[in-house]
Amino acid sequence: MRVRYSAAMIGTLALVPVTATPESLVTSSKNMYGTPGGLIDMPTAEMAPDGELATTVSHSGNTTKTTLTFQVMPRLTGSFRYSALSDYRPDRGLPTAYPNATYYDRSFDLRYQLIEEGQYRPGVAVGLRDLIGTGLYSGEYVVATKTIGSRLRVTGGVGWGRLGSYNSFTTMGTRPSDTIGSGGIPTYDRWFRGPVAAFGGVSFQANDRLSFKAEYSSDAYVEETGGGQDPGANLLTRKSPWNFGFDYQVNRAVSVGAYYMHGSTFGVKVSLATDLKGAPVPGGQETAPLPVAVRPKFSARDLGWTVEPGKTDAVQKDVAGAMAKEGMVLEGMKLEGNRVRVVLRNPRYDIEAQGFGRAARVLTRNLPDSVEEFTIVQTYKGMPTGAVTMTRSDVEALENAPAGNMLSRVAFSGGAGAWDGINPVPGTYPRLSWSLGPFAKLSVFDPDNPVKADAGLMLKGDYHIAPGWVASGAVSVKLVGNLDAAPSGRTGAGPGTLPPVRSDSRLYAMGNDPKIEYLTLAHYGRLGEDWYSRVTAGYLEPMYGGVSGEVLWKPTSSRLAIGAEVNVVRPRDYDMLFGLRSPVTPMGRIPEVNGHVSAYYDFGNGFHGQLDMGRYLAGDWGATVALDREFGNGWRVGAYVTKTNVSSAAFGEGSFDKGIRITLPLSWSIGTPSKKKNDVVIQSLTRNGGARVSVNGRLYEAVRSTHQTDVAKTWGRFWR
Amino acid sequence: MTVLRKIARLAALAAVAALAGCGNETDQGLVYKSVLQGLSQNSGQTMSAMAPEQTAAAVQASLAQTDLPLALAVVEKRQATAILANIETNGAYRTWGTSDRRTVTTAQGLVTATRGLGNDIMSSSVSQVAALVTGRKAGTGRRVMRYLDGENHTVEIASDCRIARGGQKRVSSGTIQNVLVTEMSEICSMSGGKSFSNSYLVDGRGRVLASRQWLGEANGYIALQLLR
Repeated sequence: MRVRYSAAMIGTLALVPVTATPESLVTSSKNMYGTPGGLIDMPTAEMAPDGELATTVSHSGNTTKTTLTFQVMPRLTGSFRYSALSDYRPDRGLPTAYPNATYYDRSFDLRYQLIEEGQYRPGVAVGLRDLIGTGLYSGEYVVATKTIGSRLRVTGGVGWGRLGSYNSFTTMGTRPSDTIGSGGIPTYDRWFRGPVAAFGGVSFQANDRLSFKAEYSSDAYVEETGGGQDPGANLLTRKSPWNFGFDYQVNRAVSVGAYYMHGSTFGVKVSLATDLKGAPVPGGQETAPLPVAVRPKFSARDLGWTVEPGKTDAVQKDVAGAMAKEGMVLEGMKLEGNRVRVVLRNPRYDIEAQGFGRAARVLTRNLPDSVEEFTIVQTYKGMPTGAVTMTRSDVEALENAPAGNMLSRVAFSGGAGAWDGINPVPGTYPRLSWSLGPFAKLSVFDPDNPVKADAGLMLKGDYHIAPGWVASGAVSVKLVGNLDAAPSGRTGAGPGTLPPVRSDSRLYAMGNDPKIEYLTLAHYGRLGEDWYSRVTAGYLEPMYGGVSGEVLWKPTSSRLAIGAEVNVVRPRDYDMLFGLRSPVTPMGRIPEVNGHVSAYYDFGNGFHGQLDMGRYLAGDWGATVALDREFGNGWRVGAYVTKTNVSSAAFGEGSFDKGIRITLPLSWSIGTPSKKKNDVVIQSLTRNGGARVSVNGRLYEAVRSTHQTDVAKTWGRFWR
Repeated sequence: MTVLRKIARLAALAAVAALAGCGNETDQGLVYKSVLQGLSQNSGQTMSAMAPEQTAAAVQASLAQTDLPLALAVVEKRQATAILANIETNGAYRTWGTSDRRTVTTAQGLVTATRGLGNDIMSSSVSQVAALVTGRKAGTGRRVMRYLDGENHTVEIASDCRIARGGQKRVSSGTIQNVLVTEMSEICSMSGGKSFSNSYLVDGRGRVLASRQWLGEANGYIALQLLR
């Protein structure tokens, strides 16, 4: 996986208190598996509050589990877990024995609350633990939980797999133990098969902070005690199926727990929860906008200024100055007797409605009284992305009204003709912007190593030649890091048989010499009111150079967008300087042409989907499906899968590409507007199937935030 | 790599982090600045705490500096005092600003909006209660205050309010000298059983000369006193 952080961002997760919502069987507790639940190793039917993202670290029996859990919907939980088992060596004593002191395992869980709790009826949930891949923790369950009074919750359930391994009362078919394909495939052939056992427990909320719990475990811990893949494993001694303990809620975000488990050992846990629907400072704490300046009555008829020499230039200067104070840049302005069109760059407001609103108020304070119609156009690299048109009278009349009143009065458009008849404001084009700062590239939760990272210094520059034309480059120097470390010698299914389009990425991370991250010339343009285009040429990314072209259809009010991208590329030299290397590899030729047709759809209920179909880097054909939950404050949590026409064996370990992605908006953490954000992707192993070129400035994300579909969602910020 | 070289590299990295990035892009430094400030400051704390004699001196200085209407504001929860100037008027709404760009908007003396405090009131509908308060009449009215939630969606707090008339007294404040005012109280109950109570001193012309008003759960009460 790859993560890019600005150095200052690390450690700002989970700053916000979690607020409880009245949903069925909600709990703030996490169990040792890091999933919502009031017991210890056993599951319950409880759910976390909707939209909660929690990180839990637990330790017991020489095993540390780090789990990221997201309450996808009020009744659906998804969890990713990274476990470290000391001295657990599958195939111990054989030549294929696991070579390292610590065994790392990744697992993924899903839980769904089938039945909500009623007055007499318990809530019922079904869950799949470790449902993909090797299945070290694989187990399924159906579980019921009932609240009795206000403090006691009683849970009983039946489990399969691990959860059916102790004291089973029946068997449902046979449970295979072979991994499907090259791992990384849902183990559907195991689900709800094999021995079935019962488990249960109680949790008692002693006060607001403290809860006690006791459970009867149906897990025999076969893998930990030498009965599984590692015959010599001795991670814990299991003397009893009973586990006991307590949880303590330190504050709204942090909870800790301590347990006595298996009649022989202790377990501890700490959990950090963040409510993604909340914010540290709702509405932000940035300074106030300029208030609207209301024109005197009848002054709007005075057009005398239009014949005043130099007046238009003077007004433009005033507007540019006032926009700059609001953190925005006036790039162009077309001022006529009764209307104005301003072309803006907004580097500050991540919630675009706020940028539009602040711009509108600046205009009320700086334009001659006769100007009644405002069209405000936002740009990306000088390309108009979206516009809002409103009347000045509405801005004056609705400043103190509910925000929805203004929304119903404005008109959105694509703003394609924004530059018609105007020249860029002096100083905006051509223009050089540059930055020099630290960078970190992280690779976390690999089966080889929990954390790999490179850190160093990066110099970036953009030369904006004219609206829509930009030359960009970045040079990095690594100071420390281990991204180039050799693999650990662990025997996995290996890198497959495709040309190495990504699996040799560590060769690009070697050495401390300056490297060119990218060096491109790009053109962004409009092909019509609903059409956008991009052409990027040069060294597109660390590993590939060439030409990338893209078109996008996205009407401002449309939830659906369609895009197409074609890339013609050659692999770059490992030193990341100016050379290209031969596309011919021992595993075959890296094809020059790849590309996709993409559909984007905003479901409107906080969920957003994307489907890409086409030819991937290694020449494989297939599709990527992505689904994200998007929050009005910029947080996004999603998952994607890519399946191409290569077999599991050809793909290598993991069978196909899939991952979880999280976007953390900086504005949320600091409480003031910022367009900076951090994207974290937890990906299956970097393999060669389903890989894509990484080009900067893809159109959809550049365009959508200024469109009606996005702006209307957070319109309340217009007056902020 | 020798240990020494490793240490040298780490030191270089630390130096880079301390530089914390430079460049000519707008808002380039903002990120680092904000994060650093966030470590040392309470969120939203911008108005400062002032001793009474400091306040008096500041009031005198402000009265001398400008001809605009002025008011003194105290956000009680933060112990923050500020002098507000009436920087803009839009119909019945007057916007009062501090020198560090925080604003309070009032209609007939009742707070209808704030900006820059965090958890701001985005807008309010207070005409019913405002008519009673400024008319110095007892009665009941409904008020609605609107906020942004953590997802930037507008949320409303509606409450039913009872306005009562209290005694009369003479007050002085800034350039306002020895004016007879009526004490008015407004007790509002929100859905969910919570309540807040505002109080106002209203002169014979219906001007609210001083008040204590609820801004919301997060910011608590603001005390406002007209100086001119």
